[in-house]
Amino acid sequence: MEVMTKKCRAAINSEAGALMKRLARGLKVYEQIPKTVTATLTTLFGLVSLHQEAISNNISDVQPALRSLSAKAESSSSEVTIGNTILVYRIWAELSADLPFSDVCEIISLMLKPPFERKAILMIQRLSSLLPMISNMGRKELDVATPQHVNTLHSVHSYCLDLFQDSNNELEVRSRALSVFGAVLSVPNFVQSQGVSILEKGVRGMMTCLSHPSLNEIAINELGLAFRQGASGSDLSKGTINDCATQIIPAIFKANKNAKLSALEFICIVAEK
Amino acid sequence: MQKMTRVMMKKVKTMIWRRSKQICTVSLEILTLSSEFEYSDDEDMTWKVRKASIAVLKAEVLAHPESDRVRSSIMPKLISRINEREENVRLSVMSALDQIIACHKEGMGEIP
Repeated sequence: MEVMTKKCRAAINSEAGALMKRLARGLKVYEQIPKTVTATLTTLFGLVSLHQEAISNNISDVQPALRSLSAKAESSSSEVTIGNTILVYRIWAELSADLPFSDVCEIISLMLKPPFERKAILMIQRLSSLLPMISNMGRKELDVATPQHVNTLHSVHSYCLDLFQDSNNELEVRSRALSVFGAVLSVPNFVQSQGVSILEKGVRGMMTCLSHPSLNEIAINELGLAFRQGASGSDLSKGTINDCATQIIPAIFKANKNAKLSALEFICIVAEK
Repeated sequence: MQKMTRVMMKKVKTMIWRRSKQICTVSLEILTLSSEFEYSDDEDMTWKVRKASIAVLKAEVLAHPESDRVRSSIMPKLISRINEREENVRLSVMSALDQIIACHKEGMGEIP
Protein backbone atom coordinates (compact mmCIF):
# COMPACT_ATOMS: atom_id res chain seq x y z
CA MET A 1 0.00 0.00 0.00
CA GLU A 2 2.77 2.38 0.96
CA VAL A 3 4.63 1.56 -2.25
CA MET A 4 1.48 2.37 -4.22
CA THR A 5 1.15 5.76 -2.54
CA LYS A 6 4.82 6.50 -3.09
CA LYS A 7 4.59 5.63 -6.78
CA CYS A 8 1.45 7.68 -7.22
CA ARG A 9 3.12 10.61 -5.46
CA ALA A 10 6.21 10.21 -7.62
CA ALA A 11 4.04 10.26 -10.76
CA ILE A 12 2.54 13.62 -9.85
CA ASN A 13 5.78 14.99 -8.44
CA SER A 14 7.75 14.19 -11.58
CA GLU A 15 5.17 15.89 -13.79
CA ALA A 16 4.20 18.77 -11.49
CA GLY A 17 6.53 21.28 -13.13
CA ALA A 18 5.28 20.53 -16.64
CA LEU A 19 1.69 20.54 -15.45
CA MET A 20 2.03 23.92 -13.74
CA LYS A 21 3.58 25.40 -16.91
CA ARG A 22 0.76 24.03 -19.09
CA LEU A 23 -1.92 25.25 -16.71
CA ALA A 24 -0.37 28.71 -16.61
CA ARG A 25 -0.32 28.80 -20.40
CA GLY A 26 -3.91 27.56 -20.50
CA LEU A 27 -5.05 30.34 -18.17
CA LYS A 28 -3.45 32.89 -20.45
CA VAL A 29 -4.62 31.46 -23.78
CA TYR A 30 -8.19 30.59 -22.77
CA GLU A 31 -8.75 33.65 -20.57
CA GLN A 32 -11.92 34.48 -22.50
CA ILE A 33 -13.49 31.03 -22.09
CA PRO A 34 -14.90 30.82 -18.54
CA LYS A 35 -15.54 27.05 -18.64
CA THR A 36 -11.93 26.26 -19.50
CA VAL A 37 -10.70 28.76 -16.93
CA THR A 38 -12.88 27.05 -14.29
CA ALA A 39 -11.51 23.61 -15.20
CA THR A 40 -7.93 24.90 -15.21
CA LEU A 41 -8.34 26.65 -11.87
CA THR A 42 -9.95 23.55 -10.33
CA THR A 43 -6.99 21.40 -11.44
CA LEU A 44 -4.55 24.02 -10.25
CA PHE A 45 -6.27 24.22 -6.86
CA GLY A 46 -6.05 20.44 -6.47
CA LEU A 47 -2.40 20.54 -7.42
CA VAL A 48 -1.32 23.38 -5.13
CA SER A 49 -3.21 21.91 -2.19
CA LEU A 50 -0.82 18.92 -2.35
CA HIS A 51 1.98 21.27 -1.19
CA GLN A 52 4.71 19.24 -2.87
CA GLU A 53 8.19 20.54 -3.37
CA ALA A 54 8.02 20.31 -7.14
CA ILE A 55 4.86 22.43 -7.06
CA SER A 56 6.29 25.04 -4.68
CA ASN A 57 9.31 25.43 -6.96
CA ASN A 58 7.09 26.23 -9.92
CA ILE A 59 4.68 28.69 -8.32
CA SER A 60 6.27 31.53 -10.28
CA ASP A 61 4.86 30.04 -13.50
CA VAL A 62 1.25 30.48 -12.49
CA GLN A 63 1.56 33.68 -10.45
CA PRO A 64 1.31 36.17 -13.37
CA ALA A 65 -1.84 34.50 -14.74
CA LEU A 66 -3.46 34.41 -11.30
CA ARG A 67 -2.53 38.04 -10.67
CA SER A 68 -4.09 39.05 -13.92
CA LEU A 69 -7.29 37.19 -13.01
CA SER A 70 -7.31 38.72 -9.52
CA ALA A 71 -6.86 42.20 -10.90
CA LYS A 72 -9.76 41.77 -13.29
CA ALA A 73 -12.06 39.94 -10.87
CA GLU A 74 -14.97 41.68 -9.23
CA SER A 75 -15.11 44.76 -11.41
CA SER A 76 -18.64 45.16 -12.75
CA SER A 77 -17.53 44.78 -16.37
CA SER A 78 -15.29 41.81 -15.66
CA GLU A 79 -15.57 38.60 -17.64
CA VAL A 80 -14.18 36.65 -14.65
CA THR A 81 -17.10 34.79 -13.13
CA ILE A 82 -17.85 34.63 -9.41
CA GLY A 83 -16.98 30.92 -9.33
CA ASN A 84 -13.60 31.60 -10.91
CA THR A 85 -12.91 34.49 -8.55
CA ILE A 86 -13.62 32.18 -5.61
CA LEU A 87 -11.24 29.58 -7.04
CA VAL A 88 -8.52 32.21 -7.46
CA TYR A 89 -8.93 33.24 -3.80
CA ARG A 90 -8.75 29.62 -2.68
CA ILE A 91 -5.58 29.06 -4.72
CA TRP A 92 -3.99 32.16 -3.24
CA ALA A 93 -4.79 30.89 0.26
CA GLU A 94 -3.07 27.55 -0.51
CA LEU A 95 -0.09 29.19 -2.20
CA SER A 96 0.45 31.75 0.55
CA ALA A 97 2.03 29.09 2.81
CA ASP A 98 4.86 28.66 0.28
CA LEU A 99 5.33 32.31 -0.69
CA PRO A 100 7.54 35.00 0.85
CA PHE A 101 5.75 37.65 2.93
CA SER A 102 6.35 40.36 0.34
CA ASP A 103 4.44 38.30 -2.24
CA VAL A 104 1.65 37.56 0.23
CA CYS A 105 1.34 41.29 0.95
CA GLU A 106 1.06 41.98 -2.77
CA ILE A 107 -1.65 39.33 -3.12
CA ILE A 108 -3.61 40.76 -0.19
CA SER A 109 -3.40 44.22 -1.74
CA LEU A 110 -4.76 42.79 -4.99
CA MET A 111 -7.61 41.09 -3.15
CA LEU A 112 -8.56 44.24 -1.31
CA LYS A 113 -8.21 46.55 -4.27
CA PRO A 114 -11.48 48.40 -4.74
CA PRO A 115 -13.91 48.59 -6.37
CA PHE A 116 -15.26 45.15 -5.58
CA GLU A 117 -18.81 43.99 -5.55
CA ARG A 118 -20.25 43.55 -2.08
CA LYS A 119 -21.58 40.08 -2.80
CA ALA A 120 -21.70 38.08 0.43
CA ILE A 121 -20.34 34.91 -1.18
CA LEU A 122 -17.26 36.75 -2.43
CA MET A 123 -16.72 38.57 0.84
CA ILE A 124 -16.90 35.27 2.73
CA GLN A 125 -14.38 33.61 0.43
CA ARG A 126 -12.09 36.63 0.50
CA LEU A 127 -12.11 36.58 4.31
CA SER A 128 -11.64 32.80 4.43
CA SER A 129 -8.57 33.14 2.23
CA LEU A 130 -7.23 36.10 4.16
CA LEU A 131 -7.36 34.20 7.46
CA PRO A 132 -4.61 31.62 6.71
CA MET A 133 -2.49 34.31 5.06
CA ILE A 134 -2.62 36.54 8.14
CA SER A 135 -2.29 33.59 10.53
CA ASN A 136 0.89 32.53 8.70
CA MET A 137 2.29 35.99 9.25
CA GLY A 138 1.45 35.67 12.94
CA ARG A 139 3.09 32.26 13.23
CA LYS A 140 6.32 33.10 11.46
CA GLU A 141 7.36 36.03 13.57
CA LEU A 142 8.30 39.01 11.44
CA ASP A 143 11.79 40.09 12.42
CA VAL A 144 11.34 43.48 10.89
CA ALA A 145 7.88 44.88 10.25
CA THR A 146 8.52 46.56 6.88
CA PRO A 147 6.29 49.42 5.67
CA GLN A 148 4.80 46.99 3.12
CA HIS A 149 3.78 44.52 5.85
CA VAL A 150 2.39 47.25 8.07
CA ASN A 151 0.43 48.87 5.23
CA THR A 152 -1.04 45.53 4.20
CA LEU A 153 -2.06 44.63 7.74
CA HIS A 154 -3.45 48.11 8.20
CA SER A 155 -5.66 47.75 5.13
CA VAL A 156 -6.93 44.35 6.32
CA HIS A 157 -7.54 45.86 9.76
CA SER A 158 -9.67 48.69 8.32
CA TYR A 159 -11.47 46.37 5.89
CA CYS A 160 -12.47 43.92 8.63
CA LEU A 161 -13.36 46.63 11.14
CA ASP A 162 -15.84 48.09 8.64
CA LEU A 163 -17.29 44.70 7.82
CA PHE A 164 -18.00 43.37 11.29
CA GLN A 165 -19.32 46.67 12.59
CA ASP A 166 -21.79 47.03 9.74
CA SER A 167 -25.03 45.36 10.86
CA ASN A 168 -26.24 45.27 7.22
CA ASN A 169 -23.71 42.57 6.45
CA GLU A 170 -24.57 38.91 6.70
CA LEU A 171 -23.76 37.18 9.97
CA GLU A 172 -21.24 34.86 8.31
CA VAL A 173 -19.42 37.84 6.81
CA ARG A 174 -19.31 39.62 10.16
CA SER A 175 -18.09 36.60 12.09
CA ARG A 176 -15.35 35.83 9.57
CA ALA A 177 -14.31 39.47 9.55
CA LEU A 178 -14.00 39.30 13.34
CA SER A 179 -11.77 36.22 13.11
CA VAL A 180 -9.49 37.85 10.53
CA PHE A 181 -9.44 41.02 12.62
CA GLY A 182 -8.30 39.02 15.66
CA ALA A 183 -5.58 37.40 13.53
CA VAL A 184 -4.33 40.83 12.41
CA LEU A 185 -4.04 42.01 16.00
CA SER A 186 -2.10 38.84 16.85
CA VAL A 187 0.65 39.48 14.30
CA PRO A 188 3.72 40.28 16.39
CA ASN A 189 5.21 43.72 15.76
CA PHE A 190 2.05 45.03 14.12
CA VAL A 191 0.43 46.57 17.20
CA GLN A 192 3.82 47.69 18.48
CA SER A 193 4.64 49.39 15.20
CA GLN A 194 1.25 51.13 15.01
CA GLY A 195 1.00 52.22 18.61
CA VAL A 196 -1.67 51.43 21.17
CA SER A 197 -4.29 53.53 19.37
CA ILE A 198 -4.84 50.75 16.79
CA LEU A 199 -5.43 48.24 19.59
CA GLU A 200 -7.82 50.62 21.36
CA LYS A 201 -9.73 51.11 18.13
CA GLY A 202 -9.87 47.37 17.59
CA VAL A 203 -10.96 46.53 21.13
CA ARG A 204 -13.68 49.21 21.03
CA GLY A 205 -14.82 47.87 17.66
CA MET A 206 -15.04 44.32 18.96
CA MET A 207 -16.94 45.51 22.03
CA THR A 208 -19.83 46.48 19.74
CA CYS A 209 -20.29 42.79 18.92
CA LEU A 210 -20.47 41.66 22.55
CA SER A 211 -24.20 42.17 22.75
CA HIS A 212 -24.89 40.23 19.52
CA PRO A 213 -26.23 36.75 20.33
CA SER A 214 -24.31 35.06 17.49
CA LEU A 215 -21.17 37.16 17.41
CA ASN A 216 -20.43 37.43 21.11
CA GLU A 217 -18.55 34.14 21.27
CA ILE A 218 -16.05 35.15 18.58
CA ALA A 219 -15.89 38.68 19.97
CA ILE A 220 -15.06 37.37 23.45
CA ASN A 221 -12.38 35.05 22.05
CA GLU A 222 -10.81 37.77 19.92
CA LEU A 223 -10.93 40.28 22.75
CA GLY A 224 -9.17 37.77 24.96
CA LEU A 225 -6.55 37.41 22.24
CA ALA A 226 -6.09 41.16 21.99
CA PHE A 227 -5.66 41.41 25.76
CA ARG A 228 -3.24 38.50 25.76
CA GLN A 229 -0.95 40.55 23.53
CA GLY A 230 1.08 40.99 26.71
CA ALA A 231 2.83 44.30 26.83
CA SER A 232 0.56 45.87 24.26
CA GLY A 233 -2.52 44.86 26.24
CA SER A 234 -1.23 46.52 29.36
CA ASP A 235 -0.84 49.75 27.39
CA LEU A 236 -4.60 49.99 26.89
CA SER A 237 -6.18 52.94 28.65
CA LYS A 238 -7.96 52.38 31.95
CA GLY A 239 -11.17 53.66 30.33
CA THR A 240 -11.13 50.98 27.61
CA ILE A 241 -10.34 48.21 30.09
CA ASN A 242 -13.17 49.39 32.39
CA ASP A 243 -15.67 49.62 29.50
CA CYS A 244 -14.69 46.16 28.37
CA ALA A 245 -15.13 44.70 31.84
CA THR A 246 -18.54 46.36 32.16
CA GLN A 247 -19.78 45.10 28.82
CA ILE A 248 -18.52 41.58 29.09
CA ILE A 249 -20.58 40.73 32.20
CA PRO A 250 -24.01 41.01 30.52
CA ALA A 251 -22.50 39.23 27.50
CA ILE A 252 -21.77 36.19 29.67
CA PHE A 253 -25.49 35.63 30.28
CA LYS A 254 -26.20 35.60 26.54
CA ALA A 255 -23.23 33.47 25.64
CA ASN A 256 -23.20 29.71 25.21
CA LYS A 257 -21.10 27.37 27.33
CA ASN A 258 -17.87 27.73 25.33
CA ALA A 259 -18.15 31.50 25.22
CA LYS A 260 -18.92 31.58 28.95
CA LEU A 261 -15.63 29.82 29.64
CA SER A 262 -13.78 32.23 27.34
CA ALA A 263 -15.53 35.16 29.03
CA LEU A 264 -14.50 34.01 32.48
CA GLU A 265 -10.93 33.57 31.28
CA PHE A 266 -11.15 37.03 29.76
CA ILE A 267 -12.39 38.55 33.03
CA CYS A 268 -9.37 37.06 34.77
CA ILE A 269 -7.10 38.75 32.21
CA VAL A 270 -8.92 42.06 32.70
CA ALA A 271 -8.72 41.71 36.49
CA GLU A 272 -4.94 41.31 36.24
CA LYS A 273 -4.59 44.59 34.35
CA MET B 1 -12.23 -26.03 -4.90
CA GLN B 2 -11.09 -22.81 -3.22
CA LYS B 3 -7.61 -23.22 -4.64
CA MET B 4 -9.06 -23.69 -8.11
CA THR B 5 -11.15 -20.51 -7.78
CA ARG B 6 -8.10 -18.59 -6.66
CA VAL B 7 -6.06 -19.82 -9.64
CA MET B 8 -8.90 -18.91 -12.02
CA MET B 9 -9.26 -15.44 -10.51
CA LYS B 10 -5.54 -14.89 -10.93
CA LYS B 11 -5.74 -15.94 -14.58
CA VAL B 12 -8.68 -13.59 -15.22
CA LYS B 13 -6.84 -10.73 -13.55
CA THR B 14 -3.74 -11.35 -15.66
CA MET B 15 -5.87 -11.43 -18.80
CA ILE B 16 -7.58 -8.13 -17.93
CA TRP B 17 -4.23 -6.59 -17.06
CA ARG B 18 -2.78 -7.62 -20.45
CA ARG B 19 -5.80 -6.32 -22.33
CA SER B 20 -5.81 -3.04 -20.43
CA LYS B 21 -2.17 -2.65 -21.41
CA GLN B 22 -3.12 -3.03 -25.08
CA ILE B 23 -6.11 -0.69 -24.80
CA CYS B 24 -3.95 1.96 -23.15
CA THR B 25 -1.30 1.65 -25.83
CA VAL B 26 -3.96 2.16 -28.50
CA SER B 27 -5.41 5.16 -26.62
CA LEU B 28 -1.98 6.73 -26.30
CA GLU B 29 -1.36 6.17 -30.00
CA ILE B 30 -4.67 7.80 -30.91
CA LEU B 31 -3.74 10.89 -28.91
CA THR B 32 -0.30 11.01 -30.51
CA LEU B 33 -1.59 10.51 -34.05
CA SER B 34 -4.48 12.96 -33.79
CA SER B 35 -2.09 15.77 -32.91
CA GLU B 36 -0.26 15.20 -36.19
CA PHE B 37 -3.29 15.82 -38.44
CA GLU B 38 -4.88 19.13 -39.20
CA TYR B 39 -8.60 19.26 -39.94
CA SER B 40 -10.85 22.16 -40.68
CA ASP B 41 -13.52 22.66 -38.01
CA ASP B 42 -16.36 21.35 -40.23
CA GLU B 43 -14.99 17.91 -40.90
CA ASP B 44 -13.21 17.35 -37.63
CA MET B 45 -14.99 14.65 -35.67
CA THR B 46 -11.81 13.12 -34.30
CA TRP B 47 -12.31 14.90 -31.00
CA LYS B 48 -14.85 12.23 -30.07
CA VAL B 49 -12.15 9.57 -30.38
CA ARG B 50 -9.69 11.67 -28.42
CA LYS B 51 -12.26 12.23 -25.69
CA ALA B 52 -12.92 8.50 -25.44
CA SER B 53 -9.18 7.78 -25.36
CA ILE B 54 -8.79 10.17 -22.49
CA ALA B 55 -11.62 8.44 -20.63
CA VAL B 56 -9.80 5.11 -21.09
CA LEU B 57 -6.53 6.54 -19.82
CA LYS B 58 -8.29 8.09 -16.83
CA ALA B 59 -9.82 4.72 -15.95
CA GLU B 60 -6.41 3.10 -16.21
CA VAL B 61 -4.79 5.65 -13.93
CA LEU B 62 -7.54 5.29 -11.34
CA ALA B 63 -7.43 1.51 -11.48
CA HIS B 64 -3.62 1.17 -11.39
CA PRO B 65 -2.14 4.36 -9.95
CA GLU B 66 0.93 2.38 -8.93
CA SER B 67 1.73 1.33 -12.50
CA ASP B 68 4.95 2.69 -14.00
CA ARG B 69 3.05 3.30 -17.22
CA VAL B 70 1.11 6.07 -15.48
CA ARG B 71 4.28 7.95 -14.70
CA SER B 72 6.15 7.26 -17.91
CA SER B 73 3.46 7.67 -20.57
CA ILE B 74 -0.08 8.48 -19.41
CA MET B 75 0.54 11.54 -17.23
CA PRO B 76 2.88 13.22 -19.78
CA LYS B 77 0.38 12.50 -22.57
CA LEU B 78 -2.55 13.95 -20.62
CA ILE B 79 -0.51 17.02 -19.70
CA SER B 80 0.49 17.53 -23.31
CA ARG B 81 -3.22 17.67 -24.28
CA ILE B 82 -4.16 20.43 -21.80
CA ASN B 83 -4.06 23.01 -24.55
CA GLU B 84 -6.12 20.86 -26.93
CA ARG B 85 -8.07 22.85 -29.54
CA GLU B 86 -11.47 21.24 -28.90
CA GLU B 87 -13.09 22.46 -25.68
CA ASN B 88 -14.85 19.17 -24.95
CA VAL B 89 -11.58 17.27 -25.00
CA ARG B 90 -9.81 19.99 -23.05
CA LEU B 91 -12.41 19.73 -20.27
CA SER B 92 -12.06 15.92 -20.25
CA VAL B 93 -8.30 16.22 -19.86
CA MET B 94 -8.75 18.62 -16.94
CA SER B 95 -11.32 16.37 -15.33
CA ALA B 96 -8.97 13.37 -15.69
CA LEU B 97 -6.11 15.28 -14.13
CA ASP B 98 -8.42 16.46 -11.34
CA GLN B 99 -9.36 12.91 -10.50
CA ILE B 100 -5.75 11.75 -10.58
CA ILE B 101 -4.83 14.51 -8.14
CA ALA B 102 -7.84 13.69 -5.95
CA CYS B 103 -6.87 10.01 -6.03
CA HIS B 104 -3.35 10.99 -5.02
CA LYS B 105 -4.78 13.06 -2.17
CA GLU B 106 -6.74 10.12 -0.92
CA GLY B 107 -3.45 8.32 -1.00
CA MET B 108 -4.59 4.84 -1.87
CA GLY B 109 -5.67 5.23 -5.45
CA GLU B 110 -9.34 4.45 -4.94
CA ILE B 111 -11.79 5.70 -7.52
CA PRO B 112 -13.35 8.84 -6.00
